[in-house]
Amino acid sequence: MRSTFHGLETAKKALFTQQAALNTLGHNVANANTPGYSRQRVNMATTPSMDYPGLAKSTEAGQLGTGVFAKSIERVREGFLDNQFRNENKSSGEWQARAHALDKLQAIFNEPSDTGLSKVLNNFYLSWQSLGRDPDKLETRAVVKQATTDLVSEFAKTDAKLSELDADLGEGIEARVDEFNQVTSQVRQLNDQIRTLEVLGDKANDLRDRRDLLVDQLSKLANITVREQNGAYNISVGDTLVVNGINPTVPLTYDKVNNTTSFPVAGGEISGQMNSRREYVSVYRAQLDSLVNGMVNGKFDVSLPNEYTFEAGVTNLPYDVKLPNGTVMTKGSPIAPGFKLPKGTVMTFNGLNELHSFGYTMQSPATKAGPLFETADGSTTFTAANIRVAKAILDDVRNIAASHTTYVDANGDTQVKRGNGDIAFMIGESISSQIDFKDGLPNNSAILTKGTVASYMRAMIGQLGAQGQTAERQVQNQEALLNQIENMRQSVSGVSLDEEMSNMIKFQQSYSAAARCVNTIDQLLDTVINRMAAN
Amino acid sequence: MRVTQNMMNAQMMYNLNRNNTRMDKYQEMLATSKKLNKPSDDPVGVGYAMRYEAQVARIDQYKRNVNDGTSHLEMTDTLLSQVNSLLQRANELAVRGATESMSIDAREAIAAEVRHLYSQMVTTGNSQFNGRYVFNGQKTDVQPYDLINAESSVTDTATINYMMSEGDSIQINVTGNLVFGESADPDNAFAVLKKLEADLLANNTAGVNSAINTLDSRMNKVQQQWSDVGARMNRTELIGNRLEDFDLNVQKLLSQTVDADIPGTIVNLKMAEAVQRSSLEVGARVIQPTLIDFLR
Repeated sequence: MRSTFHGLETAKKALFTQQAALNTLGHNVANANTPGYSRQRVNMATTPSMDYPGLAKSTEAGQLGTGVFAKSIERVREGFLDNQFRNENKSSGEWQARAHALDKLQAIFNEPSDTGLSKVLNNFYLSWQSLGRDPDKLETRAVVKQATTDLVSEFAKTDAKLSELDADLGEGIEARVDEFNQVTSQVRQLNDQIRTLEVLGDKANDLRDRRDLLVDQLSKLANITVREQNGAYNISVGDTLVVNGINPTVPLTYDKVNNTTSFPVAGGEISGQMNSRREYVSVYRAQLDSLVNGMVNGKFDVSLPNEYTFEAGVTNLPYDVKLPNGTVMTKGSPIAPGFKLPKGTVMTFNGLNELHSFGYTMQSPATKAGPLFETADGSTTFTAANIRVAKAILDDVRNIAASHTTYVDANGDTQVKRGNGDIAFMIGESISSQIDFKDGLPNNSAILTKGTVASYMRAMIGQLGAQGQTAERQVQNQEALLNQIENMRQSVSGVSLDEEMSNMIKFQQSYSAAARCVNTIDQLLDTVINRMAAN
Repeated sequence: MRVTQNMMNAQMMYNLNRNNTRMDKYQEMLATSKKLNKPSDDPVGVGYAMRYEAQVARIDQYKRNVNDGTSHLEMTDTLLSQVNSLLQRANELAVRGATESMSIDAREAIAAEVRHLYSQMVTTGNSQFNGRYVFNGQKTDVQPYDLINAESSVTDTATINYMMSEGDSIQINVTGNLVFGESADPDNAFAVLKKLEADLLANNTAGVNSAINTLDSRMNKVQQQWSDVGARMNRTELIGNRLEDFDLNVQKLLSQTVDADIPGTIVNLKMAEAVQRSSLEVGARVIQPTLIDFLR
């Protein structure tokens, strides 16, 4: 037997449920632009219909509906897309960090340009050609001194900028690591809150959205994997479980000096920046150092532009030589006093310093020249940071060697032949000499084992350019991929205002209709109660 | 697929951003007039650009070497022509002085001119170019010939060579001993002139006659050096021309590698602008209206 007020009750449920739907719709519209928000939907279901089978079941036609209720409020979201997004976000973070570092490296090396290191290197070698023409002029010596000083300071500047970039990257990693730790502890807190709420059977939609947003943020920083267990997220980086339910998180720490983290990180911005330090910045620094040491100490051949006569006192050949007729004579071979090397003889020197020391200064009486470069710390291995122009040359440009020949003047003093510019020409010509960057030198990371200074620079810059190009392309690819996945996510979870508005009208109409039902039942009851009374 | 307003918004932003990146690229190419602005623009091209730039600088330096060498050789050429005419004049005077019937006054006048020729010859031997003694080999800071006893002065015999192109050096000086003769040579220019003067004053006709022969032999040697200098000038000029050609080729290659194709880039920029404009217009249309606008 149905209740007299059954209809009122059904209509009331409808009013409440449509209102709940409208409220949720308002929440969706309000959060249409909230990052990480996924639209929510009220799941409506019918309330149990009457009557239940039983002895007391009425004989009326059965299963009368009793109305509607809001069964749950759910967010619309696809976990599969989240996983995809996070996976691509990881690579995107890694490549963005790398591209950023490579961009800065390209700016530091500044090629091709009129002011880059290769230009300064060229100027250095070419200035010696001018000295070869005018070996007795102080002004050309001053030009050589300036070009040499420029070269040394360009090496120092480049190295200082590389070291700055290295430090910047180190600080950047520290900041990212802090962020990572903060976010993981926030995820842990949200795990706690979500679990508490969901024990009661509700869905903690908004908290879950916030947690997913934080995990998205994490995925840009490191290679995380997420597993949901009893409503809580367990997050691991590689084999390390960083967030485990509501247990304390495992913090990530970074050792700036050794460029290592407390547990291995293999993707995302943190790894991208660490790899940039390891694979780019320190490699280019080491390559630059090897270039410097190769120039100063590396073995190379250069041919005599003029004939050369050894002084009477020289009994053993001080250098490897190859005469124009093809005869090869090794260093240390005995030679006759006044042994003559013809023009075009190829001589082998251990670096510019040895070639420079082969000559004489412009001082009177004649003095053997010292090295062209020296180190700030007295070490025998030159680096971009410790190379200096020899102090003797900075003090007096006469100490630059241009000539290799002397004579005894009327007073019996040995004097240098000032019109001889052969040493200067040989240094100038050594721009096209193949230098041994590894052979005979301490273990180093030269990019070429043998080559000219210019080809070494080209190899470095070419490698940098190729790496930069790859990184830029990867960043673009990742951006496109992320954009596509984000689009798919938005397609599922995003709030569509059109949809919400048409739903609004739908719910509003239902609400009005339910109200109309109340009205009608009221009239029915009016008929029964007021008009059917005995007069 | 369900499409939301935010998706369209994000997509438009993404596309606009890409358009802007493209326009920025063309803009940079036009502003610098270069298509290669950093190594990653073209890693291979940047290597070529660096190679060509270095070559241009080196060619420039070699051209300077050639110019300096050429002026040095030209100076030597002029000096040798002077020496030659001095010897010729001495020869004429010797021929005239060899006539026995000549009066003492006339012989003395000739002897005076020969003495003048001698000091002229010493001045020529001590000529400087660019502050350097031309005929003293590599001892460019030492005066080669003594004014009084030039015939016994010993000059440096070393040559000065300039690098004219890669691995190619050319001698740009002539040493005094080859031009004026060694100190012991019978045809040493200074000794001959001195002896001629003495013989004229002593009326030694036989001596004056023999001077004609030695002067001839000296002149032959000077002319030999002179033509040698001429040959080296020719070679230097040839190298200079070759460097010019090479320079032009490398500059052209450099420009092809580095320089932006300006008209092409402008067309590309205009196209990118048009795309940008239309995507903005479409964006304005798509983003604005929602159902809200039509609900009353």
